Order: sequence, then structure tokens, then C-alpha cells
Amino acid sequence: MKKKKDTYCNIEDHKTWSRRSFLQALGMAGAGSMALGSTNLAFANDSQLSKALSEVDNDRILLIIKLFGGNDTLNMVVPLEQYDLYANARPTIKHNQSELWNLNNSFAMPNFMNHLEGMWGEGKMKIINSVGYENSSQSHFKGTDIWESADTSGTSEEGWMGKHFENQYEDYLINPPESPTAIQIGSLKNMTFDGNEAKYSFSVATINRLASIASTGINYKLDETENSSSCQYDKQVKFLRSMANNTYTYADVIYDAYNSSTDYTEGDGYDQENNFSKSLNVISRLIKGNLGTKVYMITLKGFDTHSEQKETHQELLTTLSKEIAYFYKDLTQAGWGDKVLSMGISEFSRRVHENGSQGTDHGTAGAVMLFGEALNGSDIVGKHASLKEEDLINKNRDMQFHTDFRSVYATVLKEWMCVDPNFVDQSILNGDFDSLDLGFECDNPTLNINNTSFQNSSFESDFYIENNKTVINIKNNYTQHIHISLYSLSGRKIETLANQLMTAGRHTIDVNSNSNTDLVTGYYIYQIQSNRGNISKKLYIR
Amino acid sequence: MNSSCNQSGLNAYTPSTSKPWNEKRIQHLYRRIGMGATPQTIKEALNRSAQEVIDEIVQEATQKPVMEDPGWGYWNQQQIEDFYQENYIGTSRKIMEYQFFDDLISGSLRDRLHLFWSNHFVTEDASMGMKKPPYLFQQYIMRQKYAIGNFKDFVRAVGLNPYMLRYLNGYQNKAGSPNENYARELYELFTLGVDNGYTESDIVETSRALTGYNTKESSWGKILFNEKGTFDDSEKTIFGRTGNWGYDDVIDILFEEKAPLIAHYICRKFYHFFISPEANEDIVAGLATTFLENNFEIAPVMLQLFKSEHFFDDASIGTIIKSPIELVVPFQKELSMYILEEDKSLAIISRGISYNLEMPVFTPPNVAGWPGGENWINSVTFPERWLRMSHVLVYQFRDSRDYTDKDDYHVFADFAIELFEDINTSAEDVATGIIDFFLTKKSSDATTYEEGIAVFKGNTPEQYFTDGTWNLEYPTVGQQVYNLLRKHIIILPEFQLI
Repeated sequence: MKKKKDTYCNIEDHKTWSRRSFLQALGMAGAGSMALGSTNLAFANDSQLSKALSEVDNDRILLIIKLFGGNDTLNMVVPLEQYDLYANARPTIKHNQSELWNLNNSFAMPNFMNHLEGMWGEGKMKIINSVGYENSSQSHFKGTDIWESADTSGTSEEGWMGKHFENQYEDYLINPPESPTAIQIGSLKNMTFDGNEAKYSFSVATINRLASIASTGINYKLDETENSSSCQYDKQVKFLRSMANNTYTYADVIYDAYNSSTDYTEGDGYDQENNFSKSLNVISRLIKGNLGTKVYMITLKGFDTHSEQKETHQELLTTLSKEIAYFYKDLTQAGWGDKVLSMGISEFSRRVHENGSQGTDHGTAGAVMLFGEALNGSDIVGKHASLKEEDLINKNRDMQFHTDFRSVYATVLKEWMCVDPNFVDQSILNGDFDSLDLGFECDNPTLNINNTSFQNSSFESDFYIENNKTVINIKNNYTQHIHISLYSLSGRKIETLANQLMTAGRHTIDVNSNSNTDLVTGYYIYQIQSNRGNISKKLYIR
Repeated sequence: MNSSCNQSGLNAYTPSTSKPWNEKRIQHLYRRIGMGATPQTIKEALNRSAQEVIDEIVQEATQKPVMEDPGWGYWNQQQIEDFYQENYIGTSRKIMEYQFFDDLISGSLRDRLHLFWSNHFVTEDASMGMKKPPYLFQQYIMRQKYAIGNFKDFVRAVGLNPYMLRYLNGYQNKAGSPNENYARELYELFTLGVDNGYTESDIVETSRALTGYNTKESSWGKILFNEKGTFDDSEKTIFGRTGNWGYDDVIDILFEEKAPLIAHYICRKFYHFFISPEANEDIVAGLATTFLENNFEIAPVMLQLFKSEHFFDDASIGTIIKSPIELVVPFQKELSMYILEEDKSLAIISRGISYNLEMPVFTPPNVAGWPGGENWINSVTFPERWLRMSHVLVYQFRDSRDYTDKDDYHVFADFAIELFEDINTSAEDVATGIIDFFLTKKSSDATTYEEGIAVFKGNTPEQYFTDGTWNLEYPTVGQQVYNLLRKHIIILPEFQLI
């Protein structure tokens, strides 16, 4: 009775085949191991082209290091000009002057962070003083939400990176990019990469999980899905199905990138017992293996030092400085040192005055750290908060912020990632935040692909929603026979919306009126065909 | 568009043709109030009324005794070390964790609520210095005692529990050097919600009033109020009331001044846990009124919630993404699994799987607990869930092969026979019925059933299904059910919902 033979491969093969062939029929690449080759580009729509171009033209990478719990940056970068005020506020946890090495005449770091001396000397490190925002939240969770969303009300449900990616990959749901847009290690709840439509990151709860995917390339067969909407149950089903659809795409590419690079082993090598070190090791392999992912995010936990702070904080900062220095040695050796910018942030810094448990309670503004050759010189940027009693703010006597964290984000987005400055101000940060001088600028002025795109194409199209009806807009460049079909996200054909001779010029097609089925709320794909070619795009039914 | 899609209120549910008391609603009840039900339990419930079933479940929950002292429940470190010699922490933690899964699979509402509260009054067993077995035990029985007791008493007990005194630094909170950690979370996470009805000043003043619990009898021993003066013996102003307040005063003032906010906050959390991630504020308000009228007794709220039309509305069914525990434990229970293998039990397996799926029991990621819902699912955890659920099936199959002389797949054959009774039910109906049993609603995707039937029939010759050779007593049935579960049902996106 023990039958070993698997009799179901036919069904699974069929599933794979049908999804791939559907995507091919629509001229879409992006599924699993299908390459985005030049032949496919001929049929690609705008966003694919923009993605392809951005991949070629901009190989800059951002690593966000989240120091969760509230990093006490006053004990990380000590303001020497205010040393007495600092020391008086912190009788038991202060660093003595003999325990510090000077960054310059005004600021110093504890000796246990001297792993960074080399980077500082070589001009690969900047520190931005007293970064924060008005009425800083002292809750870990609201504070984290604010930093992740760049919305100081703490009510937004989209992340600052999520908004950027949503703009960049407008048909992410149907056509996710070849490589993960972002990779996030640790901390499953994190809205940095959340958009309105999707979560734009490949998330793993632990580095061991990513390491195992990278080394084994496990890939899972998928279930076919279809679209649905509106009530909670339908929303959940839709969410789960879209997650299932997007699940299988990335194991392969991560595996390939990991295995086309090697470990850096100079000196002691990465510490495989330390998760932070191990994370940097895997990230370095993926970067060197040309994965193409633009943003990585890792978390170092444990900064909530309410009691007996000294030892814990020293341990964390030693790890941070030692491993970052090693990571950049690795990247520089491989020629990537100028391509990777790292940014260390925390949801808030801590109280100026220590509490009675040799620790510190939640505070406000703190330092942001930046690393990378692209910084073109080490520096301390921005004014440091005054520690004088009369300058401390609110009842807890906290530090006043001097640089808005959104200015830091604005600089990174505009000058490092080359995101359109108007989009950054209007849609991501909701305000004008001037860039700081961090030593790099966008060397690749805003990608302007629209003009290069479809001059030879026979039509262009988008959709809009008016009075709850979805309307397809077509700019037809020739008088030709046009066929428009509507598909579910899984590729099931639902409807023929038009099949007619269409004159050159602009036309609109009302999707709801032209459909014989009652279309439920959600995303669909429409395809326009003529004998000159075809395009496929996503639309939304309200 | 109505965001909740659920128009029903808190009136008592009475069956009707549009909302019959049927298998699907009984499953809905048992999956939310407990940990699922076998086909047998469902059949028994069909012959009784919903109200009767719920009354019995709630009454059982209120009367269930707490865990017995494992022997070392009140020992200090020295006593435990003398007794266990080595690895005393690992051993004792495992005892507690297995106990938790054994409790859960009993299906009692008391233990369902224990799961809820362990993600509300959070402590992290893995965090530094927290691995103190007696404290873990004492916290465990406190949560059991109040799980369906009085919430105000619960709050009062939590802050003096030694585990919490250590975890949120109450133990370090002294006159002249207050530590705000507990005071902040008491309001922000445990009773009011972020920025809801308190000020930074209330936190500072409260932390002063909570001082004084800074003396330990011995390592891992009781934490006592220090009569000699670590208590801040001076006036504090909390929520506008000034006096020389101490621990009990804080709880009294909190519940006197903020009762409606507390009731809403907690009832909204009940709603999210038991009904839907999207709160219906009218229902929350109705439950909060009941909570207030009953002086924060939890049982009346549970009775009102589970007996309501709102709970039994179609729009409340299948709205919640399963946590790893809700994924694995009901699956074991509904299939009447058992494991005889010496170093494996259902509790050992489900504990291991919860770890693999990022829900290590007693060790949430931080003081806010597991965020839950969509946060459970991403491109890695999703396939991981498929893999781990297939392991649950494999363990059962392997155990039967090694430890019984019955058919290797007999658990699955028995399940099918219990579910259908009529052994001549067609293969198509059996496959469809089993899929429907494990989904909360009929799948909108017809291929779900087509593929399920194909997987279920497997390589059995087609004519056996038509010529009368095949029925539910045919020797391959157990394996067919096993395949249907392993290769199809556990992978369905809708399987992630309760």
C-alpha cells in the first residue's frame, strides 16, 4: 500500500505552464525564471521599460540599519564642547574623556567604537546631529510608525519607501520586477515598504531564513487564483491569493546572486554566531552577485536601555561599528564601496539625564549615521542640541531637534536614489524638505523615459475612474482593427470589451458598460491587440 | 461600500433560513471560541441550540482550574539548581510550553483567552535575565486565573507579578529614581491605548506611585514591598487627582477616571481577536457597555459576543488570518490526530511548528506582542506554512506506520467516515466535502474543487468510482484523504482563514 510514486506532477506542471503561457501571451515577463530579455522588451509597457532603464543606469544601493528600542546617541557621539553638562546629567553612565576618541575638536566616540577610526579617516562616514521632528513621540510603536511612514501624525499606513516603489512599479501586482525591490531582515511588522496596493519588500523574520533561501533556492509551486473584493473575507482571500502569486518569484534570483559571489574572509571573517554580522555577510553576497535589489533593511534590537545601560549599549555599538567597518572592507575590495550607502536610524534617542537604574528613559532627537565611499569625506553635519537646562524642552528636559528626519530622507531619495524631487516633496514627504550636503548628488538626472518609449508603438493607453465607472483611454496612432480583452489577475479571460475597427485618434471604452458580467471590486488586466502589436495593463474596478 | 459588510447587531442569534444553525456556523463558533471541532462534536451541537452550547462552553471556562504546581513553582534558584542539577531552565520552560499547547488543544475558551492575554499583558521569555522558571509558572497561573475573570483584578495582579516587575523594570522603580517603563505600558498597551487619555505627566507621576517593590526574598524568590523606604512617599497628581498615591490607588484611579476608555479599548481588542481585524465601532460600544455594567467581568462580554447575530452573520466568517497556533492546533484537533511516538506528542509538534512559523510561545517580538493579521503572511512565511502543515500530516502518518498495526493512514480514513457516515458517498462529494470542511466558506474558484477531486482520485482507476468497487471502506481511502490534505488543501490561500 505504500505508493511512493507522485502521481500529481501533471496537475502541477499544468499550473506552471498555464501561468507562464498566459504571461507570455500578454507579452509580460517577470514570472519566476523567465528572463527579461530584449525580445520581451519590445512588448513591454512603460513601467517595465523604466524599470529596465533604472536597472542599467543606476546601481546605487541603500542599506537601512534600524536600531530598535531608541539608541542613546548622546553616549555614542559625545559633544565635547558640552562635556560638563553631559557628564553632570549622567553621573554613572557617562564616558570619561579618557574613554573617548575624537572625531574632530567638537565630537568624540567611545573607544569601543574605534573599529570606525579607519572609515572616519578615509572619509567614509558622516554623522547628522540632533535629527528628529516636532513633538517627538516617546512611544516605541508610534515613534517607529512615524519614522517608517515619514508622517508625523503617525496615522499613515504607507511607508516612505513603499510610496516610492509604488510610483516606480505601477503594475507591480501583475508584473513584479525580476529582483525583489527591497529585502528586509527581521521585524515582520514594518511599514517602511508598505504601499497602498502591495508590500514592496521580500521579508524574512530571521537571517537564517534568508541564508537558507540563498543557499538552497527553494521554490514553491503555486495555486491559481482569481480576483474578488469588498467584505473582510473577500479582502483577506484577495490578499492571500496575491501573496501566493508573488511568493514564488524570488527564491531563484536570490539563489543565483548568492551563488555567483563568494564570502569575504580577510581577517576574522564575518561572525556566523552574530545575526547582525551574518546579515551583512548575506547582503554583501547578494549585492556582489548583482541581485539588483535597491534597498536592504536590517534591524539591530535591544537599544531600550532603561536599566544597567552601559554594558548592553557597549555591546550593541561594538557590534555595529565592528561589523559595519568589516562590511565596507568587503564591499570596497569587490568594487562596491561607492555604490552602497548605509544609514543608521532609531525611533528616538534617549533622555539627557540618566534615570535611577543606571539607564535612560525615552527621549527625542538623536544622531543619524551614514557610511559609504560615496559620502566623499567624513563630517559631522547639522547643529547639536544644547544640553543647557534652559534649552531642554518639555517636562522631561529633552533635547531640541535641529534637523528634520524628513530632510535626511529627502536627501537620500533625491540625491542618492534619484527620485523625482517633486514626487518626493509632494507625494512621499508632503512638504518641502531641502537636501542636506552629504557629499553625493544624483548623477543621473531624473529618468525621463516617457519620451523615449513608444514612438513606434501603435497605441498608448491608461485608465481613469469617473462616477465609480472605470474608463480605458486609448490613443490610437493608426486606423486599425482593435481587440480589447479583460482578464482576472490570474489570467482567466473574463470579457471581450471591444472588437472593432478604430480610427486614429483618442477613444474611450467604458469597462463597466461593456462588460456582461458584474465585475467585483479589484484589479484586472486588460490587453489591447492589433496586428501591429499589443499592450497589457492593469486597471481597477471600484 | 460598507466596510464591515456586517449589518447584524448584538441581539441574540436565532436560527433562520438565511442564517441556519448548520455545520458551517458550528465550525465558525468552535474555531473562534475554542480550537475547532471534530465532525462528531459538530453533529452533537446540531442537536442542541447555539445558546445552550455557548452557555456550556463559557461555564466550563469559568470553572476550569489553574495548572498544578509542577513542584518548583515557588522555589528559588538554589532549590531548583539543587534539584535539577543541569539545564533546569530548558527543562522547566519546556514543561510550561507543552502545558500551554495541551491546554489549547482542550479547546476551552479559558485557554483561548489565555492566548489572547499572553499577547496583551506581554512579557518576553527570551529577553535578557527573564528566564526564571518560577516566575514563568506564577505568571502562567495568574493569566489562567483571570483569563475569564475580572479585568480590573487582572490589571491589579499583573503589575505585582514578579515576571512583570522584572520585565518592565518595576523592580528598579524607586523613590528618587523612577523608571517609567511599566507606567507607560500600563496606559499605552494594557488599558488605554497609545496617546489615549493620558499625558506624559500622568506617566511620570504614576511611575512614582508604583515605586516600592524593590526587595527580593531570594534569587527567583518573591518580590516584596520595601517598607523601609524605596516607595516615593509624597504627593502625586494622576489624571488630575492629587494625593500620596500608591500601587492600589493607581489602579483605582485609573478605573474610576477612565472606565469607558478602558472598556472600549479592551472590547475593540476582543473584537479584533474574535470577529475581524476591522472593528465595527457600534458593536465595540455595545460590548463596552456590557463590560462597564458588569464591573469589568469578562464572562458577560463573551456570552453577549458569541451569542450575537453579529457573530453568526456570514460577514463574520472567514475574516481572520490564522496565527501559527490557530493554524496548527485546530488542524490536529479537527482531524482527531494523536501521536504515540515517545519523543513526539501533539504539543511537541505544535510547539515546534509555532517556533518555525515565528510564534515562539511566551516570547513575542516586543512588548506590543505579535502584530498578527496580514503581518503573519509574506513571501517567506507563506510557503513555510505549507511546508510545516505537511509535516504535521507526515508525523501522524509515520507514527501510525511505526506504532500501530492499523492501516498507516487510518486516522484520515476514520475522519472521512465520521464526516460522511454514508460509505457510498461519491468520490467527488467526498473530496468536495473535505475541502469545504477545512475552508470557512465555499471557494469562489471552481478549480479548487476540480483539482481537489483529481488529487483525491489519484491513480485509482476511474472505473472503480463508477462500478461500485470504490467506497469509503476501500483500502486506499486514508491515503487519498492524506494526499488531498497534503497536496491541495493546506496550500489553498483560503485555508489560512478562520
